[in-house]
Amino acid sequence: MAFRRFTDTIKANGGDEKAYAQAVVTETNELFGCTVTELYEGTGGKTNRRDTLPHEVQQAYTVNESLSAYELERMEGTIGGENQREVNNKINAVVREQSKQTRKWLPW
Amino acid sequence: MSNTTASSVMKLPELKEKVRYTWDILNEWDGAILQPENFAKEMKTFGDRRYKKTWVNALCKFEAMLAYASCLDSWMLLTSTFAFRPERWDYEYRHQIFNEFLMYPKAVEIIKTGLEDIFHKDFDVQEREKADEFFRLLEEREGSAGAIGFSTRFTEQFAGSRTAA
Repeated sequence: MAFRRFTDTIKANGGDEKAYAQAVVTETNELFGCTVTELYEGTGGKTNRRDTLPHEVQQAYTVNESLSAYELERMEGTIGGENQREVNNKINAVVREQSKQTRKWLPW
Repeated sequence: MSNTTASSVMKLPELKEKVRYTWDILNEWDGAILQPENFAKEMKTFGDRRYKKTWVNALCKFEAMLAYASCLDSWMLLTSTFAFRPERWDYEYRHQIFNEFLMYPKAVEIIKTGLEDIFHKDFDVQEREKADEFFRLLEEREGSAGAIGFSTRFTEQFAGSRTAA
């Protein structure tokens, strides 16, 4: 499952639970230009269950999380920082950059 | 709720940093913080900023807001967000954070959805075990006067019924 691999690579790079939250907020903003809450409300999905989101939305998340995980795997051992926030922010910057790239391929 | 000694008590400067970090995530758009001047305004609503309690209240409120705002998968609340291990920096505030989350009208429904997901027969067993700390949180709440919690007996029954199904 792409999301598990995504969260595993965040952890492997030193990210904590907040890094996951931050990554989800960031990829949702970048891919769909909205918040998670707005995405569920706007598409009529059952709140907080991604398999009820439109198929193309699920696919966008899957592709983005797979590619982000790949990038994070490549970077393992290179991300550091003076505190947890710095580490998380560096991980988030990778996710943001990948999400911007993924966004270019999406039809909306 | 007596088991609060396992983690070290956070000092005020560190607490302030954590509050600001969470607020920044909530107010970030396209890599920039929107209206950073609003942080001070928002903090004033929590009371006198010279007191630690004010910052604790802000932290718990913002952490709950982030838990809600980042909840793409409800089961992640159980296996990550609210799986408070004693070594986590937010462990000492776990009950207040969870109480703040429960203020959301949809909170109970989201938790219920998460429970359904992690007890589904196809859910990864190792991933499910990560929710142990969430169930410990519920156990601590059971019997607390005035606590809004979930009966762990309910979740055990729930798990049993899903397994049997």
